[in-house]
Amino acid sequence: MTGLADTRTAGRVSDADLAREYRSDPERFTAVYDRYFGDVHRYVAGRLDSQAADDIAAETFLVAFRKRERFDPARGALRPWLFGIATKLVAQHRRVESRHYETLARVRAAPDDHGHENQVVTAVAAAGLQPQLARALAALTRKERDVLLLVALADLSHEEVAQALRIPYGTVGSRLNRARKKLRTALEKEIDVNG
Amino acid sequence: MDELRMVRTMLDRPAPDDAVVAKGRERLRTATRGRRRTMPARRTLWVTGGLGLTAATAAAAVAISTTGTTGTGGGGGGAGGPQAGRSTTRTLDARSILLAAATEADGQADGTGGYWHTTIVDRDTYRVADGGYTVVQQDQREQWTPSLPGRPQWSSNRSLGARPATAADTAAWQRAGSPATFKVKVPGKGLKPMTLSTKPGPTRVDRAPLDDGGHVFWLGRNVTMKDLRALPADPKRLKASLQRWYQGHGTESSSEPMSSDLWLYTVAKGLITEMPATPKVRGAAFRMLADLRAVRAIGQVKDARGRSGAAIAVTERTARAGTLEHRLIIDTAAGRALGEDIVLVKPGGFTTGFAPGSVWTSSTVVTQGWTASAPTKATGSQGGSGR
Repeated sequence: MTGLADTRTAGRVSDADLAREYRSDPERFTAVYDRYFGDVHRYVAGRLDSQAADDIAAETFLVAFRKRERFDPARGALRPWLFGIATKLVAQHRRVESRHYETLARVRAAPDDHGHENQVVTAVAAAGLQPQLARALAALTRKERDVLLLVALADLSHEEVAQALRIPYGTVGSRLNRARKKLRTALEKEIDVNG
Repeated sequence: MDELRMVRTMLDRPAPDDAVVAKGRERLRTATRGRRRTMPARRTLWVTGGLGLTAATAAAAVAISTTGTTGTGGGGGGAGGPQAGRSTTRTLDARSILLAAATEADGQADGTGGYWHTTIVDRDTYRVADGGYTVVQQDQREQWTPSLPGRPQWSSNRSLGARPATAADTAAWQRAGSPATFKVKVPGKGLKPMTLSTKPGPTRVDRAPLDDGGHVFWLGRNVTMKDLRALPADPKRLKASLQRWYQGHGTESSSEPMSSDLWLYTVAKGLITEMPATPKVRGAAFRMLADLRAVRAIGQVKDARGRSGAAIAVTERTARAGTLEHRLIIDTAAGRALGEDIVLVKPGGFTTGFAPGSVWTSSTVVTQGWTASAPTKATGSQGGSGR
């Protein structure tokens, strides 16, 4: 027998099996939600903030459900496909996103934070350099930001980013490099100034 | 300095709380329950993995059981005027039926408009859990497919309610106290029963942007309106252009093998019944079917709405649903298909329990044509006289 049950008992059901299940029974699409809602929410919350993410992350799965026939397991996994949809929805909220970065840029780290040795270095750096970082992020092109944040927030591989955004593999690398360079330049300037 | 980690740290937000997760899940559940059939319904879903999407009506089953058998012979290219299939009781062979439809289609004027609009009623049969009888669920789906990319695609879906399938099923239902809802078995391991109601449901009007490629239909692969309209009008070239996408397996699942003829039938059926191909391409699709060895004639049948047509059929033996007969019901005088019935020749697997010879599922075209505009958000067709 082709076994829905077999794969289920064997452990984690593959994305292809999940897709097969919801094709048979649309209500099984909730299994996709259960598996990936947290990841999608984290990504959208990073870009738009938590409150907006509650709605947009849920919307992502509604859109995915409507388009479920277009998901082709042969072309990649569900996760990048879902992040592709989430990214498109985020793009419809560009104002919310830029306001989010503005807010982050205005939050000045308390001066005390700088000297604490017991803090994780990157956390201190992020806190201290937050205004620069947030502004640099806002200044990226949308395409650069999409790639950068799919890597940084969603942990997608280059190949998965290519699938999510439907862009060539090589383009992922070049956009990511450009984005990182811009961020580094913004941060280095700041470090130069402050010593 | 790792700017990626800095970005991650800066943008890190707490995980959503349980209430948020539950609320989003409920929104999705509402959407999934509203549609047992896949929304952009370009394919019949049951084909291989499609558990739980089945249908028949008493009327259709009765009509089909009274139809005559196939008269073969005749052969050749006898297109036999458009009226032949309708006004006489003579039973045509498959080739004659298909060529008559093709000839009629060839002579039609091509049209176009803002949106291609179709109204289709799907009928799916289910066995009632612990009830010992069969019910038929009817769903009406309307679609407005834009002729140009850049506009959204609209759909309107409505359940027309479920009811016992045959007189015997009605009697069994009455003995059970004539319940207004049915808990029906959903084929497939570990799937919970689904509840159907005798009452029609609300109309849901949806719109969704096309994907980046502007794909609107499925013809063995996703195609745009432009692709569809540019298909070759020569049957051999049409067959070649479609068959390029055949990979030896079914249209729903890569794990189930499917013969080339059945695959071509499945793809051509969609093209003929639901898509705005040019009339000449529709004619070519009929001619292509006429040349398939697996296609044979059934004779005059009535579709689920009681309309008469000439049926051609292809048989499919499946591992999971027994032996099925796909019947394309053709109005030869109109050069169009009225719809498709899938008859359970030999129930088995998850169709065990259904009556042999009954219509398991059907799709009936109610209206189709070009319209200037799509519905606005507030409206959406309230139509739906599913008898």
